[in-house]
Amino acid sequence: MPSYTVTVATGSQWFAGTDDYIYLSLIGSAGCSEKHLLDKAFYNDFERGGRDSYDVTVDEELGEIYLVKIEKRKYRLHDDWYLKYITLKTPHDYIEFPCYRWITGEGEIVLRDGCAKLARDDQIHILKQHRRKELETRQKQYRWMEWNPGFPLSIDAKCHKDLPRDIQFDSEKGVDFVLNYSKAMENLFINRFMHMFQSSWHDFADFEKIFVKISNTISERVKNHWQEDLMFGYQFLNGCNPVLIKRCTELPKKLPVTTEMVECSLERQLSLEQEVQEGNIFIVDYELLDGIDANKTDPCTHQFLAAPICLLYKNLANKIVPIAIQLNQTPGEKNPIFLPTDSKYDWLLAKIWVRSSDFHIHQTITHLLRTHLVSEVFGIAMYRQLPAVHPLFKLLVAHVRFTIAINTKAREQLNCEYGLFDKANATGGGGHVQMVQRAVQDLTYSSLCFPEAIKARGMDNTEDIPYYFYRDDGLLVWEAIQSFTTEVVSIYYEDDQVVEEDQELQDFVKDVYVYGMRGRKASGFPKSIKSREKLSEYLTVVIFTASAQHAAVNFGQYDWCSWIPNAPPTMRAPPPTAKGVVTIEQIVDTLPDRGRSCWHLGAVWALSQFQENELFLGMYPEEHFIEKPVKEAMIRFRKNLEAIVSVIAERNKNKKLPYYYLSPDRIPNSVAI
Amino acid sequence: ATKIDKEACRAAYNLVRDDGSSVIWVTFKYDGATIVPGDQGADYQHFIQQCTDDVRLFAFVRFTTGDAMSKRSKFALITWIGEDVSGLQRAKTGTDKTLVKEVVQNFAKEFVISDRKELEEDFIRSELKKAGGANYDAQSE
Repeated sequence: MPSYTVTVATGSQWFAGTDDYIYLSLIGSAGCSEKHLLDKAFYNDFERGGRDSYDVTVDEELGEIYLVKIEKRKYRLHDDWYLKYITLKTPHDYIEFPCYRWITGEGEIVLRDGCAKLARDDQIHILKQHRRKELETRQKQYRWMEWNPGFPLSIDAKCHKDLPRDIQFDSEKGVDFVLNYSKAMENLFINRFMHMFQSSWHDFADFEKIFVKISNTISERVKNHWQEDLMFGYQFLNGCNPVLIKRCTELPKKLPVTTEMVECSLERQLSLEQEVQEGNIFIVDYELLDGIDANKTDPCTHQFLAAPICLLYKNLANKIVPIAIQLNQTPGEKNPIFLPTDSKYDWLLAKIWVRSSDFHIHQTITHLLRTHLVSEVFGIAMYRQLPAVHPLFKLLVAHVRFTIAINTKAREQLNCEYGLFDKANATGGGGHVQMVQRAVQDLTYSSLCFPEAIKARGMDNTEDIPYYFYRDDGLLVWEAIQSFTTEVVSIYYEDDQVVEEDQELQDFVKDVYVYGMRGRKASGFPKSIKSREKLSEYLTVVIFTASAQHAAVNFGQYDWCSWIPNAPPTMRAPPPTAKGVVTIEQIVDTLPDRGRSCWHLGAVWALSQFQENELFLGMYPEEHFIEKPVKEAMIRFRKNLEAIVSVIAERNKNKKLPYYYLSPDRIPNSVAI
Repeated sequence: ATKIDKEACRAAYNLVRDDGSSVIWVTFKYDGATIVPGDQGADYQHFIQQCTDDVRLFAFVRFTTGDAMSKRSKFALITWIGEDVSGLQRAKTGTDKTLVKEVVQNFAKEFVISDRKELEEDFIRSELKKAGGANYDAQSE
């Protein structure tokens, strides 16, 4: 009678343990075992963080063990259980069965051993069947849904608790936006201003009343220098929205700026056209905001949007500075081009309008659409098309962790009707929906390939454009991820043909294209993948977007947006239509009122926080992979990342404005906030 | 939630399954919130004509492969989603395919297609050929 030692590891998160009855059966090449109750007398089995061993003796020879079946039966109350893994010591073997899933209710789960397998590697009938059944079940659980017309499709779930247990947050409380914002405002000692809607601050210094409490070096520096052109220009390169600036190859007709107008700013004795040819002129165009409806949810407060165009110049010191700003798209008498030579407050207000517009694009396009929603698409497609035994499931699952959950939560509380987003944002009440609908047209695959995206904006020359740390650090991280995915791909795909014939992989890619990207040809998303090289690029896009890109545009929000005049979430007066009339009082009356400022501050603070027990790039505590070559690849990956951390730390030394958002030790594995 | 008229769909499905029948394709369409058999025919080209930009449908198609001595039938399950199909309807096809699969259980390969070019007979045939025995044996239950 063969005897086995079964070891069962329970998760260590809250409520992971169970008092329910747990039964185990083994399924082998020669037959199935009886159901065994795993229980030790006078002992509390399956406690949180526990690791218990049991001896199981079966009547007959089972042959090679293929599957382990776990059944949970009610003790008193329903009591969910998080099973990390099971190991099995057989008379001649030791097998690991990774799980990392919840077993709920009267549930059961059938596990395969941890060796990653492509479909073609499975010849045995029960294994093929197990693979197919798992996908059938998942496709019923993970369904596509359209959140808003034109949006990339997202998960079909009305609220967080409707999601499959495995992708829910461990505790829903931790991600309650209403609670977190209120907590933030309490922590920031700003709740006394919270209800002061419609009440303007007195002057810029007055904003300090809500600022002082949690100052850190960058936000403090922003507060002290935000009015300076250098600081304004720097943010296009290394702020929290460093993705808009482009090299200007031709002056747009809609911005009729002349050499005469900007002569004072040009330092090379060249005409503006010559400066353009020399590559010293840059442009940021907020055309997308043209005609977007401003927030009308509060009848007592008119709110306004603009669609500015900002021209920038690389001066002799290689610093980027603004030289002309037109606040709307159609040139004309009532749409003057503001210049650094204008009166102080004219120029300052024009820059504030650009900062406010930048905030809107940042929040809704750069952040929400291009990291959160894109990552969710990859996550849903992965769960629908890749079984847990597939190497790419094992690779990607850590990089979509909690993403569907946080987005569901955001749809529930943040970006819904009467949601938090409507409170303080000029694009609330529907404007942000229009923005996403427009921006989807530019959501291309190549724009998610970091090196290509940088090149497409003409920003790739490091000698020509120094101090672009977002680009420099991003490229390092991109390359590290790419060499990791290349290694993993080469372990499981011996040649291009294996890639092409992996139907599950092809279905995954197809699901992203047909559903996530709605079959939009112009998106350039591949419909199939035919080579190992293309596959590792694709995986790099998935991982980079979820980790580095999100970190770059998310975790700097408190630094750059907590000083309200530097990133006003709304404007309460329309853009000026003439020069020489703006006063400081008008500017303050245009900026957000006290109540809206507080909501905004709470938001950027809450969003900039790392989670408790955050998992940073390359950390894979869930051991879905058990094979040595992959584990070694992970070690090399982490080593490369550590080297990047040192490079960045060295570069940042003694910098008044260090750039650390893309330091791998600050990049979480997935979009989870 | 979507329903399916199983009996009617199964009858149409069996027609295509039957090598002796001249019907080689059948579509499954939406009638309100119910999936019902759509058109059927003996000519693959006529099937392609059903697939317009504003339409989503499922189709079950028989292809005959091999030579005169040993003919073999191979079956394809096709999901057609036209370019202009709205997001809501598009999303539904992903979910509702599981209903269709309750009826259509035997096929060598499934396709999700939104590009007319990929509907071409030669393309489908060559893909079916590649599929060979590498697919899951869905028939075995």
